[in-house]
Amino acid sequence: MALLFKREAPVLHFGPRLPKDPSTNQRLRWSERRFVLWPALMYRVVAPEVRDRELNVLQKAVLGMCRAGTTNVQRVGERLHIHADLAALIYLELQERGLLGSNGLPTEKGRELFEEETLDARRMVTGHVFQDPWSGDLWPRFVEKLDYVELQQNPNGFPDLVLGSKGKPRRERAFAVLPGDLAIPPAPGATDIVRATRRHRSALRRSDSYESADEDDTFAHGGSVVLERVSLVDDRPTPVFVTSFMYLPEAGDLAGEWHACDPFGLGVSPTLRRALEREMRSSSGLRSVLEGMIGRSLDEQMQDQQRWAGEIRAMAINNVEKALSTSARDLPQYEDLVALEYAHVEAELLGDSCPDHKLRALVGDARRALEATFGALFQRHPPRQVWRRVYTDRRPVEDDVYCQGVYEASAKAVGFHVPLPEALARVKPNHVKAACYPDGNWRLRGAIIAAVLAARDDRAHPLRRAAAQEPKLLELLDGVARAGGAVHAGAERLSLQSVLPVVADVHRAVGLLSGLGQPLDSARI
Amino acid sequence: MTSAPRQVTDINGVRYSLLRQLGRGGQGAVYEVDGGRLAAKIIFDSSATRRERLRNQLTQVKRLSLADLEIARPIEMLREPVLGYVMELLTGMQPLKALGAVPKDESSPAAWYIAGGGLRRRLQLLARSADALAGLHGKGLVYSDPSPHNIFVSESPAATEVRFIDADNIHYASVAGVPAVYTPGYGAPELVRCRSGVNSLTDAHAFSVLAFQTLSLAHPLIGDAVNDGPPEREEEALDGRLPWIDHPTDETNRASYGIPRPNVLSRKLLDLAARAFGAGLRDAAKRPGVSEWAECLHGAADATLSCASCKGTYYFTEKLCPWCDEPRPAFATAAFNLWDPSVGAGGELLQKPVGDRRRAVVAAVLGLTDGETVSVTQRLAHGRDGAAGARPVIELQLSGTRLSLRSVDGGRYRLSSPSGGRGAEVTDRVKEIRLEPGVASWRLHLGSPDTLHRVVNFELRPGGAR
Repeated sequence: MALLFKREAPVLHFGPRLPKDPSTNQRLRWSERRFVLWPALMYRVVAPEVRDRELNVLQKAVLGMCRAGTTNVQRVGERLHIHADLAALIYLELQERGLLGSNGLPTEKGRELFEEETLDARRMVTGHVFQDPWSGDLWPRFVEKLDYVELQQNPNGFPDLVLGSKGKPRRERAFAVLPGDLAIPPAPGATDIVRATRRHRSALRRSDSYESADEDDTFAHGGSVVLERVSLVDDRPTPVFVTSFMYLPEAGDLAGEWHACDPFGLGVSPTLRRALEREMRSSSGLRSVLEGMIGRSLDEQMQDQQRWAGEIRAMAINNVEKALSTSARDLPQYEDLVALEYAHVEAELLGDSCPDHKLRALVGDARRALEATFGALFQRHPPRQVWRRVYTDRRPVEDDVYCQGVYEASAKAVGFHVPLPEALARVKPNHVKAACYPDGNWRLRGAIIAAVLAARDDRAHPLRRAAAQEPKLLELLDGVARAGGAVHAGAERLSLQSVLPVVADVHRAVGLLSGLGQPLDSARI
Repeated sequence: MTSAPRQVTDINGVRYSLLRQLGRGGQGAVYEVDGGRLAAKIIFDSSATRRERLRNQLTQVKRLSLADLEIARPIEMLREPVLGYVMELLTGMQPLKALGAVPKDESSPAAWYIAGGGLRRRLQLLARSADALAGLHGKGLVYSDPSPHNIFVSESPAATEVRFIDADNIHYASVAGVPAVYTPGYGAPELVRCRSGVNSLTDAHAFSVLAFQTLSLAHPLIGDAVNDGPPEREEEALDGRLPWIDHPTDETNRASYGIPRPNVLSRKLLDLAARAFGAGLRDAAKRPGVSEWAECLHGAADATLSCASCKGTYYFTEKLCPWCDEPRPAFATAAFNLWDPSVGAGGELLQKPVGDRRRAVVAAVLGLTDGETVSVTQRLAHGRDGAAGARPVIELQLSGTRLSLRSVDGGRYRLSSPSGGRGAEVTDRVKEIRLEPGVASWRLHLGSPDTLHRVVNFELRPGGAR
C-alpha cells in the first residue's frame, strides 16, 4: 500500500508566529526556533465564510428591531426584555457607528452588516479544512486561500523552506514529520465543518490557539446554518504539510521550556506541542531537531539538572556545617536549615539573574527554618500554659497595652533588650495560645513570645543563654519574620542583596538558640 | 472594461480582494491581492476575439512547466467576466531599469553604481536573467519582450533574485507578419523592420542590449550622433543601420557617456558584445545566444574582487580598483578543474594542450577577497545551470593565508593533500587550510572519488601591481 504522505506533498505556509504579550501588546520574540512540516489531510469544502463578528447579540437584536420598524427604545426594551436604558445605550452605540440613521432606521451600512451577521445570510464560500491524519479530527481552522511555500530539498534529506520576500529570500531548514503508513480517516461531515469554521472565528476573535472552544460549540447541531448547503468539493483529501515551528522564548524560563506555534498564525499551540512530543517518542530525527534547538540533548539536560541539584546540596550542607559545626546534623531542624542554604546557594550562583520567585522562596525558607527551630525548642521546653499570662479575668485580652506590658516584662526578665519591636509587642494573645499547643498550627511571632514567656520561669531555657549572649536577639528574629512576609503576593520586589543578610540572621539565631557554632560577623546586629 | 473590480474570483471559486494598483501598462494593470503574497494581473481588452485569444494563451502558459524558471507565472486564471490571472507578488523587488540609468540628481555616478551592488551584483543579476531566458528557450519558448521593465530584481543590494514578469509575453516562436510586442530600444532590428517574428534570437538581441546597458550605463546603439541628431537617427540606429557605439573601425556613432567598457565588461563579455552588435546586428544567426551570455556573465561575476576601500567590485585582472584607484589586495583564486579517476593514478587531473604545453582544464575560476565569504554554488561545483545552479554548496572565507571551508548543503566533501597522501573532510563545521603563494594547496573534491567530478585548487596571489 502506498504511503499517504510523501515528501513531495505540497507545503502550505500560513505564517506561524508567536503570540502577543498582553501587557505590552508587542509580539513575543523567540531566541531559537526550528521549523517543522506537519502533515494534514486537506479537503476543499463549501462552508460559511469565516469572519469576525462586528455586532454582539444585543446590538444585533436592537438593530433587527429597528430594521423591523420598532425604533422607540422603550418598546425595543419591552420586546427584548431588557431595560429601556440599556436599549437606549445600544441604540446610541449603533448610531455612533453609523449603523442607525437619525430616523432610527438602519443605514445602508447597517442593513448590510445586519445581513452579513445573520447566520442565515452568511456567505457560503469555497475554502479548505484540515484533518488530523492520525485521529481523523478536523482542525478548527478554515482557510479560503492557500499559501504555498517553496521547498528546496538538500542532499542530507532536510528540506529548506524558502521564506522572506521574493527579492530577498531566506532559507530555513525544516523537518518534515512523515506519519508513515496510515489509512485515510472518514471524511468530515457538515456539522464538523461548520464547527471548524465557528471555532476558527472564535480563535480569530481571541487570537487564541486552536484548542479553545467556542461558545457555539455548546450547540451540537449546525446552528442556523443550513447544513445542506455545506458540502465537500473533493471526495478524497489532499495530503499536505503545513509549516510551524518549535521555539524557545527570548525571555525564556530557566527550565528551557519550548513551545510550538499554531500553523495558522494564531499564536502558541499547546496541542501541536503535545502532538510533537508524541511524535518524538518514535522519531529520533524530530527529537534531534528539538535537541539541536535547546543546544544539548534532553537527556543530558536532565542529568545536568540532577548534577546541578546534587552539587548545590553539597554546598548547602557545607555552609550549614561551617556556620553551626557538624553537630548541626543532630538538630531536628537540620533539613530545614539545609533547604534554606540550598535556596541561598542557588540564588548566589544565579546572581542578578535570580528570578523574583526564587528570592521569595528563599525568605520563606528562612522563616520556616526559624519556625522549625522554635518547634524543636518547644519539644524540649514546652510552653505549657504560659498563654494564661495574658488571659486573666482582670483584663480583657483585647487590651494591647496590657499584653505588651506582659510581653516586655517577661523579655526584660529573661535578659532581652526592650522595648520589643512593634510587631512582636502587638502579637495577639490567641497567637501565643496557639503556639502553646503541639498541633503546630502557629505563627513565628506567636511562638517567639510564647518562648519568651516560658523562659521567664525556666532557668535552663535556651532563650536565657541566648539573651545573655545577644540581648537584641528578639529584634533579629522579628527581622526574619518580617522578611518572610515577602512570600505573600503583592509584597514589594526583592533583590538578592536584600535577602542575603536574612540568611546570616537565621544562622546566628539558630547558633544562639542551639548553642552551636560561632556568631557570624555578617549578622545584622 | 478599463476599471478593475474590487474583488475577483479564480476558476476554482477562490475570491481575492484587490488592494492598490501596483502598475499599469498598455494591456492591463497589476493589483496587490489582500494577504500580501499574491498579485492579480487584469487585462483590459474590449475585443472579444483578442480576449479569447489571450485567455487561451494564458491558459496555455499556465500549463507550461516553468516551475524551475525565474518567471512570475500565472498561479490561477480568473473567472469571467474578468480576463487575467493571479501570480506571486514580487515583494522586495524592483525593475532592472532602476540599475540601468543614473538618476538625474545623482552627484556621483560611481557611488550610485556601487550602492546598487556594483559590478559583481549586476553581473550576477544579468547572469540569472540570462539563465531564465535560456531555460525558456530550452523549452522551445520565447519571452518576446525582454526589457529592463519586465525583469524584476531584488531591491536589497545584498540579494540577487530575478523574476521575469508578464508571463503573457511568453510565446512559441512566431513568424513575420504577426504583430509582435517589444519595448522600443530592445527590439531586434529584424523585428523592428517586421522581417521576423519573435524567436530566441530576438530575445538574445534584447538581452544583449539590456546587459550592455546595465553594466556600462550606455545603450549600445545610441551614440552621440543619435543623441544629438534628429529623431529619425534613432530609428536608423535601432533598426541596425548605424554602427554600434564601440564599433572597432567605424566611429560615426561613438558614445561619450557611460562607463569605460573594459572596467565593466570582461574580455569574453567584450567579445560577446562585439558579436551581438557587430555582425549580429544585421545577421541574427551570428548573434550570441543567451546561454552564452549566461556562461560569460557568471564567469565574469566569479572573477571579481571587492575593494576594501570603496566597497566596489572589479575584475581581479585589474591592478588598481577602477572606482577608487586603490591597489588590488592579496587575494586567492579557486580554480575548478576536472578530476577523472578512470585515467589512472597521476593523471586524474584532466589537462589539455595549450601551445606546446599542457594545462589543467579549467571549468571556472572564483576570486576570493580577504575577509569576504563566497559561496561555491551548484553551478561551480557540479556545472548545474538555471535556478538550481545558484544553490550554495560550500562557503569559503579567506583570512590572510587561511582559508575556511564549510559545507552548507548538508553534504560532506573530501579534501586531499597535493601529493594525495593525506585526506580530510569538509562538513558543516568550519575546516581551515593554509595557503602559500606558489605552493600547491589542498584539493577540494566535489564529487564521488570513483566518478568524474570537479576538483578545486586554491592559489594565493599577491596584491598590488604585480
